[in-house]
Amino acid sequence: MVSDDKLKEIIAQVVGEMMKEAPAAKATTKACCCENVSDDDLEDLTAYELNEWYQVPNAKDEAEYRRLKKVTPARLGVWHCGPREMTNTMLRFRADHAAAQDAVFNEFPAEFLEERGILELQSRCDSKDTYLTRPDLGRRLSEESAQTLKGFYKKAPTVVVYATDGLSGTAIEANYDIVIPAIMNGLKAHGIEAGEPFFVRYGRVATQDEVSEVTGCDVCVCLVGERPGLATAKSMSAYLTYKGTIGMSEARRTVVSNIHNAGTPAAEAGAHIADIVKLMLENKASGTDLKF
Amino acid sequence: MKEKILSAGIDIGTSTTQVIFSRFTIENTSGEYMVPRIEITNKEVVYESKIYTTPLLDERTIDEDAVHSIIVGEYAAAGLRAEDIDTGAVIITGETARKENARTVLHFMSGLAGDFVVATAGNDLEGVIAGRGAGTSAMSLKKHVVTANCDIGGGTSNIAVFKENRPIDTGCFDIGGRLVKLDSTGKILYISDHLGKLCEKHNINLKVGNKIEYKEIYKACVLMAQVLATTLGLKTFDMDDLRIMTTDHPLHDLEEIKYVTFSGGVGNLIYHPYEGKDDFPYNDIGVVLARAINEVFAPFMDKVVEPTETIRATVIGAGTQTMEISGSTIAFSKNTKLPIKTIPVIKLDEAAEKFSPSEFAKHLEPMLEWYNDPDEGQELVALSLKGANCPLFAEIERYADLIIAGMQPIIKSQHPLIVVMEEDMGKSLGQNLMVKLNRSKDIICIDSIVTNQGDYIDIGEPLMNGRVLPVVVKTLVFN
Amino acid sequence: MILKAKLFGQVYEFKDVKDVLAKANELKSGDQLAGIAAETMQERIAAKQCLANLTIKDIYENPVAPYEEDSVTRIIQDGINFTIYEEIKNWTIAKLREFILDDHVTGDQINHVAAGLSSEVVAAVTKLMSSLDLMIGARKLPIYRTCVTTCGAPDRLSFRLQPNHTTDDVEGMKVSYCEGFSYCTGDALFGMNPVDDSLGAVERTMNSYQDFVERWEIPTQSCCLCHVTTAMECIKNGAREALCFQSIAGSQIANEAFGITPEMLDEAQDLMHHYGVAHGPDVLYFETGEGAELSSDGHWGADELTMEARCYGFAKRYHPFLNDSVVGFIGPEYLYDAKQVARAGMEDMFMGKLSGVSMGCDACYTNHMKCDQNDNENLQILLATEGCNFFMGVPCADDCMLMYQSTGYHDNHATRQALGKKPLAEFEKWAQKMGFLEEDGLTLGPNAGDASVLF
Repeated sequence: MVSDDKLKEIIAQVVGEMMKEAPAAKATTKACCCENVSDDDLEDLTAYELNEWYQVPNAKDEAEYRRLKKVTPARLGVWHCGPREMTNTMLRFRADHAAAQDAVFNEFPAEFLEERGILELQSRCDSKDTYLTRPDLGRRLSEESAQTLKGFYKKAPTVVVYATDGLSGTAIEANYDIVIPAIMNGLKAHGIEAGEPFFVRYGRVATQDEVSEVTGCDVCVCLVGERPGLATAKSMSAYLTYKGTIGMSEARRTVVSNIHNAGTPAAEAGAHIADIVKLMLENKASGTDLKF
Repeated sequence: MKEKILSAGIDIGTSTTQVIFSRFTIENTSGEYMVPRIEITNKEVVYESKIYTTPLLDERTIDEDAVHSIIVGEYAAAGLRAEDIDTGAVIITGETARKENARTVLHFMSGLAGDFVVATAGNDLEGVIAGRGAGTSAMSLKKHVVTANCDIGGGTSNIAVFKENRPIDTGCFDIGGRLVKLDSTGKILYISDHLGKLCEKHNINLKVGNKIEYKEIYKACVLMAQVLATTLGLKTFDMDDLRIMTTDHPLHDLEEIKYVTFSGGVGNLIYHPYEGKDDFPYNDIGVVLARAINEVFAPFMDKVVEPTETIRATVIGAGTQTMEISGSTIAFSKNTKLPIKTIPVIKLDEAAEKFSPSEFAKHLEPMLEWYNDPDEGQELVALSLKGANCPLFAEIERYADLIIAGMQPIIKSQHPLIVVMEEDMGKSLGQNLMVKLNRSKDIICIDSIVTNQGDYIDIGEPLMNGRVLPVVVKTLVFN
Repeated sequence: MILKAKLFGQVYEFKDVKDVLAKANELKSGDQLAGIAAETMQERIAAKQCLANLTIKDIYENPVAPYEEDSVTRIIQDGINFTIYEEIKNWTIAKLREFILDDHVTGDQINHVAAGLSSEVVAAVTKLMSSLDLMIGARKLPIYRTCVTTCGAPDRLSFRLQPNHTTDDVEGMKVSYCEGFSYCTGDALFGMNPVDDSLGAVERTMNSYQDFVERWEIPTQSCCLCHVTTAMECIKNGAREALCFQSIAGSQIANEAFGITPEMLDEAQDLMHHYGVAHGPDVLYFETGEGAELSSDGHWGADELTMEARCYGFAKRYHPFLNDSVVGFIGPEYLYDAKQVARAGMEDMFMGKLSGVSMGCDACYTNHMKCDQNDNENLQILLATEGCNFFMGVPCADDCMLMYQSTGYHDNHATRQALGKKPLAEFEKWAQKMGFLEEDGLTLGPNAGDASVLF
């Protein structure tokens, strides 16, 4: 038989553990007790920093566990039910994957471009699906787009900056309004003239080589959505070339990756990109040819 | 890309003089294809001098020539020349700093050791440097508790309190091993003013010219130890004694201190009591003071822990803990002359960052006025702001507008416009300031540096191919 | 040799053996990208029909990459048993399929015949097999290999602990592998993919992993997945590890893109035999994956399945402890969706076993592929049933460094439970002693999920 004291102790322990499992415990209580919960009070499973989300009960060394967990983005200290993940862990994973898939597969919204008056061009891909399976078509502008671009600038700009959805339209939506003005501002600070930005749908990085040839620019900056990981779907890269040509070596591209809030903030990345452009123009080189 | 720089630390204290050299490794720790993140990845002490007795001509004068030859000798012993040294700090601590020839000493020192960034530090900064060098600051981070280091040298005890590796409070007392000096026969040659007053109040028989009596001086040392225990919040003894022995200000009793460490020459004797028979082996009262502190602190021994450095805390702190580096995306005009030393910092409360440009300017005006000398004109000051985390570009522009509106007196002066941001936005903000000022004003806009109102900063010459600037934040006042 | 087939009255003609092989392949986006896939479903079946009637000799004599120009072809062609080849060279591929599936034909009998098969023949018969065919065939062919411990028993299932970290942070990896071991993952091997491939960093990792294995007396094999040349350099400097890793491919050009030659791997094997910490004899660990040759322009116009079969023909020479088919990592332009990935995984498992290679699979997917965790869990069960020796183990199936999803600590032991397979024998005992596993060898123990037991 279990004594009363022992029982109390067990209950206290169980309650203590429930309190520790903050996100899950709170979410369930709220969901079942409050019928009229305001939107602000709703628990958001994706709002928790993964490296602070800890739910191992009675670990041998909880303090050290929590400390080590902070230095890795891996999903650890999550506990288990039988051999399987706890429900909150499983749902958080699925939520992050859902965000990643939506970023890849959803069409980049035309309204985003219309609202800002941004010219939309397209690669030779006719759909997302073609884009994903035919890298060769994604590397070239459609003939109509190439024609449009030819007449877009009155004279060849020194620098062309454009965005393409690539593997994450979400990344472009999240960063465009910050990174573009930051680049333009930086170029202005360096006294470098740049053409008006535009957008290419279903573009690959190498589309920028045709852009360079068609516009006759010296430096081409292509902002492209990165393949989303589960950590973020909003990460963007910039690829820069000096006098790019179709079929040129990949080694001639300079890359700035990991542009997002948890990586490099877009404004600072934009300013940094402007500095690289200046360096490229001074050295007449890009990629591995550019030492800095 | 890696860069190694050499840092010198020189501590000329009331009783001892020491030199160390350390090597910092500065590295870009982010991937090849990312925006750089430049950090100090390693600090290694490569040379430690022996501990010299500070050569004095008399009670008030450092023997410049003797100090000079000590330092020159140590450079030679370490196989280094002055031009090998990239950064570092010379600190003239305790009473010595108040001596007339300190300025001269610093002068020849800067010729000897390149661009030293810290000079006479002031008691608050000395306390912080010693606490950092002792490892007490790092302990506060590691154990997630509030820690205090009490650096007891010849003339003063400098206390610094740390929380999560940041100083939160300082205090300084005229308590040290050399408040009384003896000749070889035990005759008293010198008693400090503060100690004289304390003895007078408590009828302790201590007079210059008399032979020292152990019982009397021990009584005085116990009173001094009680002052330290009082200010550290362990037990309140006599508040009047505390006032008598205070140099500038005591601690502000902000948070309960979990662990206390002692450093400095006397600090070392607390953990490693002098084993000889003699009570006054150094012709001063250091050994007695250490014994008295051990007695007074005995009830609180669970709070007293030994730091990683005791007698070398200040020199290690000076050599390894004074310099930090700015964020890796910053902006500065190429023709700005660096280094710039001892720049006063104006730090506004965060609420002001939400003001309109005109409100902001009005708010800033009296503070700038403070640095406007009727004869010399506007002095150089740096503006320090918290800034925004992952800002929209509109936020960058808004900050630029605030800064331009507020810093007009500086913009109109011949001084560069220096902006110090906490958040990572230095490069975009700097570029925007350049554009808005028509690229005609020298600008230094750095980030990832935390300062407080009343701090001074030194900005050194660029490192890592101009990517980052070394910065020393000299915190002088704590509130 | 007839390179034609008739279906519903229509005659389909094929250029050569390579063309038949490509068109007989199940639909793969990589073959479409290469422009070699069947144009219609019917053409695909016609190609299968054509292939069914070709002989082993027809295929053997027409390797997809020329003997003179490709070192992998030479290794495969020269590596067969010619006596056995003479016995079977006139069999059709159809007959080979039926022989493998015959209830009265044992694994040993299949292995006898397999010694006379070139990789192209292995690929050919695979193209005639449905999913269940692959399953029945593969299950007859358990492959045992020994490094520090022994893997391959059909009633056991093992996992590679893959505690990757975005910056190789020592503490970040530690919490990851401690937790992995506590979930009974890590019996196949204990190995990370380094971000920093420099000598010093790799040496530190190798030694720290082996130190950990020794400190806790874990019966497993340690490994750092750097380039083989880096690993050899480290071993020569005295670094300690049990398994030496390299990615390999099915043609010389593609291997050159990986920076390797056959001689390099000979040297690595020899070095591990003399200076590795394991008694072996199986001391190498390879990774392969359909599409690698196409992505490095080293496919000689052949389909990705055939090129993958050639990887195993190449691997066979080195008797690896494990060969991991990284099946879903390469992207939708090579394997479009969960269906194509699953098919490729099953083919690889069968082909590896028929080639005499100890097979594992990184059942995985990237976020630009039409695939989710349910698909991946299905694949794991499918391949484990087929007799896969090991899978990967990453925290919650999310590799934070390589940015893809694989099989997680929580998926692995669940798969063991679902199929009644236990960890490798020595590891099972160790996990029980540590409180990570119950006596039944299937239920997780009281300490499972608590990494701090191993801090």
